[in-house]
Formats: sequence, C-alpha cells, structure tokens
Amino acid sequence: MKKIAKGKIKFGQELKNEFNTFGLVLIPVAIAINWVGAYFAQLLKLPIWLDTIGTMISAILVGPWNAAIAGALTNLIKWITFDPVAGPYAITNAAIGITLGMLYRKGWFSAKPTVSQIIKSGIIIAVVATVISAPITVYMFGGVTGGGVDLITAMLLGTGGMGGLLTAVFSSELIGDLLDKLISLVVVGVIIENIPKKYFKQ
Amino acid sequence: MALMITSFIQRDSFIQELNPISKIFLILLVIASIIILDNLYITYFFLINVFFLAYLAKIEKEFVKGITIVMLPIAVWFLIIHGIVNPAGKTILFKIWFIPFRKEGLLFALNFGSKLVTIISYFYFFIITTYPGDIVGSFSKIGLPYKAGFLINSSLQMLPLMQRRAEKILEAQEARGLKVKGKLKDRFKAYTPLIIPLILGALMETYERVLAIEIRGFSAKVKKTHYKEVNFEKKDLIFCFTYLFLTLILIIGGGNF
Repeated sequence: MKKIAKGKIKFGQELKNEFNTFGLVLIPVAIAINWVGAYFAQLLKLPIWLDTIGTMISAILVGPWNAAIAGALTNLIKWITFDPVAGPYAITNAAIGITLGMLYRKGWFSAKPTVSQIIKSGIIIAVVATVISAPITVYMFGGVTGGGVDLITAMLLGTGGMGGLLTAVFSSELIGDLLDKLISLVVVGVIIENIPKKYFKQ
Repeated sequence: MALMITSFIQRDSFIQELNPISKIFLILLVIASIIILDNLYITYFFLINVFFLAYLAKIEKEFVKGITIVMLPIAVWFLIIHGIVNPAGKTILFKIWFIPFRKEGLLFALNFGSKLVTIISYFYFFIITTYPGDIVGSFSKIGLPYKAGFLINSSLQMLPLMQRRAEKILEAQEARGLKVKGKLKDRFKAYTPLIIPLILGALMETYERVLAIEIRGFSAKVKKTHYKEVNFEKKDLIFCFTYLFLTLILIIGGGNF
C-alpha cells in the first residue's frame, strides 16, 4: 500500500513547509486541543488519557514533524503546570505524531478514514506508544504513574507477576493505549471529514 | 488530578520584575542540586525556599492553593500505589484492611515524590510570577529566534482561552441535556459532543489567526522590535549570585547533612 510522492522534496524543504506560519500557529492550538482532550476525559472520569487528539490532527493537517513538536511541547507544558509525571512521555506523544503523519503520507490513513483504516492505524499507534511508554513508566516511575492503568498493573502483578514488572506495565499500557488511540482516531476522523479540502496543507 | 490553568498574577514585588532568565537559572540550579546530590534534606530546603519566594512575591495564598490542589492527590496516590505494589518492597510496615504497605515502596515514593513535587513547584512558581510577554522578550535578547518565542508565548496564552471555551461548550451541551455523570458507557458517549465542537471552533479560529498575524508582518524578514524591553538589572545579578552561592555551598558540603 505504499505510495511514493511524485517528485520527492528534500528533507530540509519538507521541514520548512511544516513550520510555515500556518504550521506555527497550529502548534499551540494542537497543544491546547491535547490539553482540553485530557481535561474532558478527566471531567468525565474516563480511564484513558485522550491527550493526543491535537497531535494527531496536526499530523494530518500539516505533517509528522510539526505533530512531533506539538506533542512533545504538550507534555512538557503539562509537566510544568500540573502533572508531575507527564514530562518524559513527551517522547511518546511525539512518536504518535510522527507515526500518524507517516501513516497518512503512505495512505494507510486517509482524509475520509474507513473503519478498517482506523482500526489498523489505531493498533499500530497504540503499539508504538506502549513500546515507548512502558519502559519509561517502569524505569523512571517504578511502574506507577497515577493513571487508571495502574490498577490493571497492580492486578497483573498480583497474579504472580508473569514475567515481572515490565510485562505487567506493558500489558496494562497496551490495553489503555488501544482504547485511547482508537477513540482518538475516531474523533480525528470525524473532524477531518468535516474540514474543507482546501484547508489541508499537504 | 485537578486541571490548573496557570496565569500570571500581578503583584507589587521585585520577583515579578525579575528577568525571566534569572528565574530559569534558579530552576536549573535546583534541578541540578536535587538530582546530583540526591539528598532529601536539600530537596526539602529548596521546597521551603520556593514557598519563601512565593511569600516574597506576595502570591503565597494562590501558590499554596495551587500546589495543594494539584500535588496532594498525586502525592497520596503515589504513596499508596508504591507502598503496596512497588517490587522493591519487602518489609511490611502496616496493614490497612488486609492490604500490606511495605517500607521500601513507601520510601521510594517519599524520596522520588518529594523531588518531583519540589521541581514542579519551581516551574509553577515561574509561571505565575512571570509576565508571559517578558518570557519571550528575555529569550530573544539572548538570541532565541522570534518564531520560537512566538510558539512558547502562544501556547501559554492559548491554554486559558481553550479552557474557557471548553467550559462554555460543557455548559451549552449540558443545557441541551448531555449526561456527564452516571454509567461508564454514558460518560464515554458524552465525550464526542464535547470535544468535537471545541476542535472545529479552534481550527476555524486558527485560519483567521494566521491571516491576522501575516497582515501584521509575522513572516516579513525584517528586524522585530519589542513593545516592552526586558533587561538584566542589578536585582537580577543579586538574585542569581545569591542562589549560585547557596547552591555551591550545598554542593561543596557534599550533601553531608
């Protein structure tokens, strides 16, 4: 399913395209969307984060690297204002942006996403996110970060720790991430279906 | 975790007038000390210090309120989970109901948690005592490109705006009968009617904003001037040197407390 862009542009130019005025103005907006996404999730006491919707939208409207910056900055700002554990996961947020941006470029996720595209992309992104987050959770925070998934981790450990802390955290993160990313992608899909084509910059 | 949108609080004290770089310098000193020295007494020294600075900045009430609302639930949660689940835990200190709380886990939570709380407190202190316009101004004085400064400034401005938007949408949808409490399924279903209007509104505004700043010459390749000049003054030097001195004493003392 690989589509190669006709006339590949150099990477330097590609970066500049992603950080034009529109890209720059979108970054704070993406950060704010990530923020409010998380806010609503907490308000409704949902067990998942939903703090990457802005990153994902940026990935599609502008590109992977813009989304990476938006995602990373989101976590850094979250870190210094109210969430003591959010900082290191800036890498995860950035990776999610890069992954979705690449998926979009390669056609795996389109401007009018089908259910199967959403599910496939969701799984890929969830796995990427888990693979990056789980070691951070284990080695920096001893396996616990204050989110809903901690309870799943505790449960898994209680059942005789099949393979230790890393496995337990990995599993609980994966469950959380699958749910989180799938729902986020659904929201993203609805949004970009309703944005006129001319507003897409890529 | 309570959501705190932090905004600048204007009070009549020298802390608000300090160059933001000085405060960032302090934050870096604190981070370096806490991580290098790995000493709980030093951590608590810096924690007390930031409350002292909050008092000097005349924002102690807001500061304490902010820190407690945000940190306390997390700290308690941290202690509980690590006390029970942390793999390093062996010695049982006490039991609540029939759940054992282990010493090593609790110590880890106390140690790591205190460091985290202290460092975050400094960032929070920085945010509420620094006028956002000054942040960008001071950075560009030391060579930060104005577009990066725009990013930082814009992000900090956007958050309270978006928060207010979110609250308006919440009220509007609740007035239309949206259920935000109750069964998990209902709560999940309530998510999209809240987030989608917000995102669409925010995106439409983005396009307008791009137009607005372009018209004001955002991308024009000319030298930008500042509305308010931020300089290094005597108080900045005194502030920085005092804390540098203190930190050096602590480091030389080798954390022997």
